[in-house]
Amino acid sequence: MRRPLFVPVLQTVTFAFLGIFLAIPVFLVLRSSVFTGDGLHFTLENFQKIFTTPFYRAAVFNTIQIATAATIAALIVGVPTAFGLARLPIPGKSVAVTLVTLPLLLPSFVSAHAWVLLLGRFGLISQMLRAIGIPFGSIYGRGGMIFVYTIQGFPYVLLLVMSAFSAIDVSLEEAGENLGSSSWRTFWTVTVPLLLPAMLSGGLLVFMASAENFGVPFVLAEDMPVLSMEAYKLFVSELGGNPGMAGAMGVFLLLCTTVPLLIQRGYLKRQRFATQSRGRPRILSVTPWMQRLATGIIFTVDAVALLPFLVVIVASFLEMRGPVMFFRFSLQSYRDVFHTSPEMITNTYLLATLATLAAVLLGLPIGYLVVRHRLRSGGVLEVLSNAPLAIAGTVLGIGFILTFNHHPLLLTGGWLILVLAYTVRMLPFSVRSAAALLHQLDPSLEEASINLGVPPGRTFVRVTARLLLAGIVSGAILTWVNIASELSATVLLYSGPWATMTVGMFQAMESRNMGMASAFASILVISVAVPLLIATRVFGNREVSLF
Amino acid sequence: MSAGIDIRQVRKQFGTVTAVRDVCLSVRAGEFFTLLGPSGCGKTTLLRMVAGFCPLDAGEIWIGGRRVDQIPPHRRNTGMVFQNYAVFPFLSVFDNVAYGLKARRLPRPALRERVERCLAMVQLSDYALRMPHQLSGGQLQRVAIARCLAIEPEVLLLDEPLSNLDAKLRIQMRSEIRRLQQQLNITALYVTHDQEEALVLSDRVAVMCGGVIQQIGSPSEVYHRPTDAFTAGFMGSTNLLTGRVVRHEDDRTVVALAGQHMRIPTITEPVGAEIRFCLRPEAVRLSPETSGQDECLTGQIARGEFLGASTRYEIAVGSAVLIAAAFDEWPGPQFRVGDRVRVGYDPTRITLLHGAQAASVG
Repeated sequence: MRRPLFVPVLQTVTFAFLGIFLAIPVFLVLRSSVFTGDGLHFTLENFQKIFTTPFYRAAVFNTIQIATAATIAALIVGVPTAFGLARLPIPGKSVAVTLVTLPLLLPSFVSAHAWVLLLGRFGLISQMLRAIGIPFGSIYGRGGMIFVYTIQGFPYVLLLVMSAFSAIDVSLEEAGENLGSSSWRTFWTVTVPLLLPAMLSGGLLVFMASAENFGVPFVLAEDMPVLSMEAYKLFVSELGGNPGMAGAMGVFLLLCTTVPLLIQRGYLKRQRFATQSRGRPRILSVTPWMQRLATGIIFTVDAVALLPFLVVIVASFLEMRGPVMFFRFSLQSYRDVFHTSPEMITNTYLLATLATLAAVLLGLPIGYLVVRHRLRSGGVLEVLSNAPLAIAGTVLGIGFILTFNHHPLLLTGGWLILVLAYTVRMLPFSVRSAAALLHQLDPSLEEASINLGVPPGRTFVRVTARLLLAGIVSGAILTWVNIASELSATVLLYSGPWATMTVGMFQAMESRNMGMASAFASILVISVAVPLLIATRVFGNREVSLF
Repeated sequence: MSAGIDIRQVRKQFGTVTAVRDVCLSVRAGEFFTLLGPSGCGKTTLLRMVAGFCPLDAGEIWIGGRRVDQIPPHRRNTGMVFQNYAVFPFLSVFDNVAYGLKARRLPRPALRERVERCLAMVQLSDYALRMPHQLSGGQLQRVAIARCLAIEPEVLLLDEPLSNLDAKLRIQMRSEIRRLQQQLNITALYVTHDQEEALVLSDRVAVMCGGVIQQIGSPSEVYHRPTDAFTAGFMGSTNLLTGRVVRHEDDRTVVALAGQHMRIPTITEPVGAEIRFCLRPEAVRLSPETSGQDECLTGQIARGEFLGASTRYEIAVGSAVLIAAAFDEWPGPQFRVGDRVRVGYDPTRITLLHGAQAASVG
């Protein structure tokens, strides 16, 4: 059999795409951090400045400290909740699981905004607390950021650990007990070690998302420096001047995301458990009191996770003057949105749809090679396509501007640069979901098709793609959702006519127009919820991988 | 439409393992040919090379006078039946069978007629509109077969097609496969590790081990006249014996086995040479020590296992152990452990073996 032509072609396309749109931009960020403004002389001045200026040192410290705290908190909330949902007799379990995953659909800065409406200086709950004599300041600052990251991040931990719980081969636990270990000891000596990789992966996702996050500090940090905000401010205010400092901040941001990722990969390489589920995991029998307590805790967590959705939607229909809310129904916020910037809505739809198509069209064949050509080109492609995971949006944005600000590739100011940035950011996601789907696919189906006379290329379309359709569509919708709520790269790369809804929110918050911000957020949430609901209806409630 | 297959000096290496080692064989047009061997012997690799799913490292494959090893799999016109059926789950039975015909752009009426004819052949005419998930394992296998027959392939390739079926269905399906193959007079290359399946189905069998073909022959040849220890051991249980030539008589050679003498058909090995030979357990007859018989050894029953239709005895003959299968013992096993017995045999049933390799299958 000749090697199908589409393998080398696809390899070349992937290498070229990631080379131009990932490697070069990141390289230019690194380069700018160690060169003088005119780009001629090597210098470590920028790094020296970061180490010697207390303000910048604090940015590094804050970022790491807040992300670490949020990771620990998300594990503390996520792991026991996952245990409860997997192993305890909780009534309404499937509802609880669905509700708990909803925060994943809420852009983190929308969530932060919602918590400001509740716990800000003029927040609903803050005022109530003060009215009954409890001295409550506000959510702004370190604690608030950790809180929001925890709420936004714990569903990752929960979903991963829950699926690990249900993937555990029950006979392993039974073997433990059969060998004379008590169920409590078995839990700690058998179950927990089997869950460790999932906890680690979940924790890593929370850490990376929190470290690179741009929107939450924008809403909550106020004067406290964090890396992503400072890199953005340095770059925007010194555009054309000296992007070196921004690049140096970007390097620290890169370290924050890549180092933990590498540590986790290294750990997982040594720990390989093939857990194959043989039986349904056991539901433990507990006393009615325990059951009530667990149910109460889980639905409280659900409620806290859901609160931002409700708050944002309710607030969008209320009268607002700046940050102050009045309990009178009003459509003013929506009128503002539709009068001043309706194009932001259509821009989001257009750009997200284009980038989703690009990510899926690129991700599907790469996922195919990763799974089917594991030994040949798949391994390299897998590593490459996962690389964007470790690149913070802010770094990618700065890199894009440095790379595409001049001929031959002048892209700044247009729509294409946004679509490309989104495609790069979403590629790991679409490759992974395609690969996960393909893993379940029986290769002999494709061979049967080829054997019956259909060439490999057409077989891929008629059999492989066909079998994957449902999974591809659900994956595409989730990609769309993630793109529509992207802020950190967008805010650097957008230009006037191509502002998106997230930019609209960003600007509204900057001018303290909480009403308009809420209206944008509500439109975003609804735009995201509708396609998801339709997909669940059409394809049934299949397990959809959210990340 | 049926064509022979010619496999010439074919070799395949996976890393350091040679999966197929310079294999030559030719399958005649219309023949049912089976590749038989344990897992990892290279039989499936060889079949996949004929289908085109596994590139050759060396050698040539010809189908009906056309060299195919450089032709991509979709243009080879072979029909492959997969172990797990590989029926497209998103297509109806009809569309599954029509799949290859659509790729060949057959006009609609002809396509319809061909699909219906093929479904009738596998007795699935009433199931044309069903979806695969509504079918049983046996029915899925019939769909897979009909789908192959529809494209009128030059050869039919079957990769352990019965291994996913339960025992009863397996027996039913295998006679159906044989019937279809003979009715259509199509060349079939069949892969299995089940020696009974190979014996029942095949015109000829190739026994494979370690990427090498050990013996090719009719089912009765490979069963009764194995040329090597592996084939002898793999084709059902047997007595693999090692003896030393004592002397040559008129029409017999006398061999010493564990201190006793056996007479076997004349061989050319010189006196004193060590030889290996085999004797099927069902060709061994046991009788009480008191009765007289010409060609026999004496021994003591070491073990008896009642299997229903027969009893399997292990007999200690000096330091050697022989197995005997005694059929139709009524009302129960005739010998007990410790009984001294005469071990009678027909010298013509003894086969001299080449090579030293023995299979662990007994």
